[in-house]
Amino acid sequence: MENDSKNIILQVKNLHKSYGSGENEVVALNGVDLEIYEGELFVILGSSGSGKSTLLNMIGGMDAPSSGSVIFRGREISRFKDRELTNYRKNCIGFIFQSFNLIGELTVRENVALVANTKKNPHIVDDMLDLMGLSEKKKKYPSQLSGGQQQRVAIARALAGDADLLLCDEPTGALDYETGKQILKQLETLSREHHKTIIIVTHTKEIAQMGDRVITVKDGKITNMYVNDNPVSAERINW
Amino acid sequence: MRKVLMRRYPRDLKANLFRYLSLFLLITFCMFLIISIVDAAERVIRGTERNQAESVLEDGQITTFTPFTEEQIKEIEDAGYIIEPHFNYEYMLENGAVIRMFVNREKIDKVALDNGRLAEASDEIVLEKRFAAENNYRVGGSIQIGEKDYKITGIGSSVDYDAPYRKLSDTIIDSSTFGIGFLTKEGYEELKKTGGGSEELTYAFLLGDHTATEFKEMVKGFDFDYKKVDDPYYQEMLSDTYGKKDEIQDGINDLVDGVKELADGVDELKDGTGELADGMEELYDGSVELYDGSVELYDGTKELKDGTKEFRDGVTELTDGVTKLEDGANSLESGSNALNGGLWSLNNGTANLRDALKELNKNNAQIEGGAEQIFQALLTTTQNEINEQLTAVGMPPISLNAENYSDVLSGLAAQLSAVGMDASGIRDAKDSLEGIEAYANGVKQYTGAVSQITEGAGKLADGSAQAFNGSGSLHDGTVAFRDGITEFKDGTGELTDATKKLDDGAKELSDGTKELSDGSKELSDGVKEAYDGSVELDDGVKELRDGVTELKDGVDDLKEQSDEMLDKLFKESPNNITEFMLKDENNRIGGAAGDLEMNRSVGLLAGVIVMVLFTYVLSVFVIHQIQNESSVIGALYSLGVRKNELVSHYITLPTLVCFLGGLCGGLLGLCKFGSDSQMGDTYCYYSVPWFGMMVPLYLIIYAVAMPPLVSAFVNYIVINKSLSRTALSLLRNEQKASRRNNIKLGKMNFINTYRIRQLLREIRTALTILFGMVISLLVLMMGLDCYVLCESAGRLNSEDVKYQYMYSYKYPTKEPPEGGEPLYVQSLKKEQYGFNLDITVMGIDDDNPYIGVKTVPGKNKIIASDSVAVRYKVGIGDKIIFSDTANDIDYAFTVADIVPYSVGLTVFMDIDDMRDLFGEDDDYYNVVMSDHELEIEEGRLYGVTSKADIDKAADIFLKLMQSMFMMLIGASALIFGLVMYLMIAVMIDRSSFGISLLKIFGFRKGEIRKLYLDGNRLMIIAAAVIAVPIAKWFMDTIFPSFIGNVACAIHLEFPWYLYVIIFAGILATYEVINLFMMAKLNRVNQTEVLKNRE
Repeated sequence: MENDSKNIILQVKNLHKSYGSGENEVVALNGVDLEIYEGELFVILGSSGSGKSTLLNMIGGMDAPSSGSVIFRGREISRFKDRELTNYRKNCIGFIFQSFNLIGELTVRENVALVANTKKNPHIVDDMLDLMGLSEKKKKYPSQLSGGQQQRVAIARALAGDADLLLCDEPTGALDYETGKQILKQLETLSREHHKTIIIVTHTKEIAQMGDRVITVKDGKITNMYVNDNPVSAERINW
Repeated sequence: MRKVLMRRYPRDLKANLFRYLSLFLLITFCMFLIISIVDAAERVIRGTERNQAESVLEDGQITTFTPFTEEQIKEIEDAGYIIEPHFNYEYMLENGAVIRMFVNREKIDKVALDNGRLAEASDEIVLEKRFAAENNYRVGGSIQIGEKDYKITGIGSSVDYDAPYRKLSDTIIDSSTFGIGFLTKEGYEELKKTGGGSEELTYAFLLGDHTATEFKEMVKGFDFDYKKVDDPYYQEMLSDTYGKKDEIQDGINDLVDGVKELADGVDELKDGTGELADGMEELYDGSVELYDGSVELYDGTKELKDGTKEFRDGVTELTDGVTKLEDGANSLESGSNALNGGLWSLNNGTANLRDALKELNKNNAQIEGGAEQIFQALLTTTQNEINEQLTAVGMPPISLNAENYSDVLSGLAAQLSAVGMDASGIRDAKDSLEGIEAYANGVKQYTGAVSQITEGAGKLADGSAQAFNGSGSLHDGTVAFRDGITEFKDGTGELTDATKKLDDGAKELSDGTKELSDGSKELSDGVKEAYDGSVELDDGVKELRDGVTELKDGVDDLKEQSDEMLDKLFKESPNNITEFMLKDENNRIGGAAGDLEMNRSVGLLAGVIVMVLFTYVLSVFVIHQIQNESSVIGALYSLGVRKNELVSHYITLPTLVCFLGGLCGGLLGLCKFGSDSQMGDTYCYYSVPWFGMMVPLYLIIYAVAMPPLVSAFVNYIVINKSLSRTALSLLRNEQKASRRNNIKLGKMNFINTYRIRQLLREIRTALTILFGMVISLLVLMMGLDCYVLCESAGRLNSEDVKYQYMYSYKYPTKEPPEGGEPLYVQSLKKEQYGFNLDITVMGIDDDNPYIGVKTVPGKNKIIASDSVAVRYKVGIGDKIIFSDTANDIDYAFTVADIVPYSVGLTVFMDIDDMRDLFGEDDDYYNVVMSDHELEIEEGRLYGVTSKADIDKAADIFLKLMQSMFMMLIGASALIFGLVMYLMIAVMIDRSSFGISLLKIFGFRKGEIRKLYLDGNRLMIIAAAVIAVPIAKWFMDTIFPSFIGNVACAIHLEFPWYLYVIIFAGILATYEVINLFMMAKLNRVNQTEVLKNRE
């Protein structure tokens, strides 16, 4: 991939994050620098406690860095106030979690519609459900769906806000292999066909193979970064 | 987004149906109670206002001795007033009840009929509704009054008897024994002739544009022939009053004479003060001179003092000298004695000596001759020998005699020596001769001396004789001298004493003179001031004289005017007014509305407080829900959902429940069933027409808007914090580390540790139960305070009333009746919470057997009953002001003591001081108490109160309030039970995971109950221990304001068993709920563990 020809959507500069102080201080991120390009599928690989989720939360404006900056389309979000951060998350970011976090009392469609940007696109909810193959299930309640379906609802919900950047934190973590694979295919489709910029956080090396670029995070630092000239299709990934 | 989330509400509602439904019903019930109470109050208050307007409520009433004449009535009406006679008399029925009869009214205080019509025939009557109800009289029925049956044509009420107290001083309405009735004019007159009590000539009036004072003055100005008053007691009073005229005139004449004498006296005084001023001037000059003289005198005495001091020193020295002189005189005497003895011996010696010397002198010539012979012999011999030798050597002989032998012999010796011859013999001879010559000369001298001695001895003897004689005289002299000295010494002693006295005297004289000097100075100054004063006095007396002259003129005028006034006052009629009362002073008017004013304000406030509780309970559910949905909320936040959107979402459902509860409660409360049910107490006590439905706009707004607003506010406050956490925190469902979770519990068994931890985890819920308990206990305490107040009022009134009969006099006799204890009772007013209550000031003697109170002398000293002390929060030493509103006078009293006495609001004074204070005669009284019925003419009395009446009144009040106690106690139990149920249910819901897990671990039901439910029992007990005193204290604090219009003692102390019942009730409620909770606990199954974890 010719990175130079791509626009940078997000920059992370010398990002530090620590919790506690003194002897109890835990350093979660220790000087992370990276750039994310428009439309790329970016994978953050790391074991538990490596700091990968913390990095994702910083990028998503869910947590504030101790120092350093996160710049999204030229705007430093680490300096945003609450309202601006909310707007940023609402208009620019889509989150997918390991747990699906759907509201049990709402139908599939209602869960997606909850955060949909219908002003921008009145049909976006149905479009996203179509995209995720959930048109048939839109009147169902989360409890009536399988885990994979619930996760697809969560992806649809994340996309319904017309997000520029999709942040996926262990999206297959709560799913079985097959279902997980389906979710990864959905994400791959979104990236390859709909040119969504996607960041996937995972601890599974095999999943990392589908990324355009992959970084490995260990002890809060990027220990490795490589450009994957031949990303593996989700279909072919086994773990 | 809101629209999407709204779809969740019905599902949420369905899922928690019981919870929301029970709270909805509770809110509905409470709002129903509150709205119905307030609406009932509103109906009565506004209905009373409307009824007063429709029935043309009087502005006041005036009672007269004689009826107004037609001319007077016309004059009144011409002046713009409206007046209507409301004459009345009382008739006692066969059952002992008293009915006060009136004529049908046409203009003022018109009867509001509930049923039937007004009396149109002389045998028809309209009865007051409460009296009719209590005595089972109905329209179409009849009532026997005297010997006649009257057909009851109507039953209704009259605005001037809204609270049908028989006497204005009554504190309780007893419609079973007293009521009013309305007859036609003819019927009234006919009945009057058949008996009954004395007729009260009362007129109701409307003032129009005038003031009450104007009307009163107008009536006072009417001609009134008091002689036409056929009341003998009134006549008796007038004669007493007229007897005063002469006293007043005599007094004024005395005053005139006195002032004349005063004027003369002042003239004399003026002359005197002129002279006094002159005299004072002279006195001043004299005092100045006196001062100068005293200063000089002081200097003189000072010198005198110095002189006497010196003199005293001299006398002291003289005394010393005399003492020494006396010693010397004594020595002299001794010496003269010795001298005398010596001289006597000397005299004897010298005589002997003289005689001896005479003997000695006789041989002197022989001795001299012998010595001469010896010398001559030796000289011759020597010459011879020498010549012999000289001759021998050829030398010429020598001739020796007594004159030359020395020279011859010396020359010879020298010649011999010169020629070398031995001359020693010569020298020896010479020496011998010289020795003999010396001897002869010595003998001569001796004899000469003896001769002289003899002569001297003679003289000595003579002298010694003389000396002896002299020494005798000397001795006598020395004795005399010593005696003289002794006397002198004595004299100097006296002189010393005298000198000391002289010194002291001089000193005192000096001091005295100093004081005299100072005094004369002060005298001088004083005299100067006195002089100035006398001048001023003179001026003042001059002015006084002018003033007295004016006074004299004034008193002369006064005499003229008072003569005129007295002539006018006593010549014309006395005042025709016996009583003048405005509607605001008449406690029969507007009693019901006044009673319910408090219901309205307290009800509205109570509604808000109860809603705060319910909405807080709801907020606990919401918090529970938020905790359950924490990760979803975090996810929504991460997707850009705003906090306010979720806050409004979570607030909406509780707010909706509150809104619906308020709406339903409001509708029920405002419907006929609602407020009618609350008006029962009013209709069972007061005589008011049936007030129609009324739906005040503010009450609709209150019912509809208050619950949701309170809910929104409380929920916002409570959940805002929970929703203010970060998206990450919510996603991770982080529980805020609380200090209470870190409490070290020490070594306890597992069950106790778990229970405590569970309680700490659920502390918010526990506090809500406490809050609910406090609120429900407040409601309970209100009911119990009502009960205790009524019960204690009845019991203590009965205990404190020691008399059997109390007679209130209109015209007291000069002397109290035999067997009666006279008192002086005056009614004053004291305002609190907007109500002007009657304070009974009771003047008593210390030995009053019916009032065990020891008064304190002093016109402003009162002994307050504890009713007054508690009501007005005064203690010993505090000041309290009571008002005589009729005369616009305030009386300030000091509370000298507080005594238990619960009848009304009473204070006690010494009867004599009270008579002084209120300007009554020394023997005045207006109330008599006795332990048996007295024979007192009815016409003299305002009324009689018996102990039996008081006891009965207390029972009526207690019965009347019973339904309210029960309602409040029921509401309290319902609120408490439901709040506790819901909160404990929430605790179990929140602990379902743990309960499920314990079940999986094999804990038995009993063990799980111990862990999750039994701990609550302790919490409930602790909460009760905290909440009961708080609720009791708070209610006791605010309760007096609820009964601000009731002039009664406020004794709110609970007997101990009432507390036991409260605690038992709380525990019983808990135990019942515990049974339900056990069932709920059993319903929690092991799958909860799976459900809560994806």
